[in-house]
Amino acid sequence: MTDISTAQIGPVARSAEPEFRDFVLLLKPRVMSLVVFTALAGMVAAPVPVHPAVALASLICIAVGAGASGALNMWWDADIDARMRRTRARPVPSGLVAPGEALGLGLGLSLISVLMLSVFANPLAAGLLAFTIFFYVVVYTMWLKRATPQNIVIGGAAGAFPPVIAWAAVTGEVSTASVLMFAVIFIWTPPHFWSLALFRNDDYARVGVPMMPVVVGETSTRRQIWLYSLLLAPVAVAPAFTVAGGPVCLAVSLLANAAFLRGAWRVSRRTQALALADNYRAEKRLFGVSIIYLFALFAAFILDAALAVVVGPIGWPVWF
Amino acid sequence: MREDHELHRRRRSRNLGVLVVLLAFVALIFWVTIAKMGIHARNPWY
Repeated sequence: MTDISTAQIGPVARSAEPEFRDFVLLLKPRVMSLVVFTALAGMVAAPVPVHPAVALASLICIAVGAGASGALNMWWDADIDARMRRTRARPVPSGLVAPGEALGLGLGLSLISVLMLSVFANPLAAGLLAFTIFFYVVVYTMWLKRATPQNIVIGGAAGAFPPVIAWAAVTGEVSTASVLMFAVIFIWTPPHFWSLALFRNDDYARVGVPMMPVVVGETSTRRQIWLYSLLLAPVAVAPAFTVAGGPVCLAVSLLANAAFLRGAWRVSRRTQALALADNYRAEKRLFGVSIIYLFALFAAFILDAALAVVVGPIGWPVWF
Repeated sequence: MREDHELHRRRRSRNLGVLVVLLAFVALIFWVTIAKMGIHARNPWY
């Protein structure tokens, strides 16, 4: 410890000495937990046995890579984060961590996570992780986010990659099942995020981020939420008929789609006046349902894999 | 005797955090190395 007496130090600015916890917050731990969960599902569902050490190490690399891109996102977006209610308490805008430290941590962890995944698993998985970090930071954060209302549609691809990376880490290839897992998250992202954007519209409008409700209005956004939900339904059922799926996947996807479509239909039929009157109740509900939806779908992959271990092969049809 | 300042507490938290992460990293590499050596011993062409 350096020799600094208390008499020499006045009140310390938080940015002067961030705690370890502040750096953890920089990695967006809530997003990381979703990434770890979808990656775990992709790994467990892969029809190839994997040593627990390699599985854990690969999952950690994927999680750290996701955290690194979160840190780089916070570094780049600090100016708009500071002006939005939802993000103003993040480590960089609140002064907990200096921008340079966020950049350094993000770049360092990106490099380490990609290199280590290459060592622990294989170069294909590492390459996919590197591409995901690049896509989220450069394509989404630096380019699309402030340029087009389709930002979340295209940028959503970054969040859809973790199960593909995990599958590749175990099998050494990209297959139909992992591509369908990607497609589920990719098509799920717009209705999930736009339902949030509907009741956080003022935040995005204030900072000039062209989210769909800001640019095309609430009515058009509600219609698009419904259309994406319709498109999502068959895509979410399809993985049940791959090597990764099974009866649990089919049952869960049917139930989850029914709940999601019901919520999306309600949101699509409402007017702004009605939403304002009950403080966006249906939109907030759809946002909550969408989180449970994704969790349930990927939990079903894990349950089907567990079922296969317990009862053995059941002759489930594999169409894709 | 000097009292512990807020700055020292934060720095200690960071140092301990980094220590734990580094030790976990070393343990993980050791475990994966043992696992891969085992896999290789069972299948030298892997």
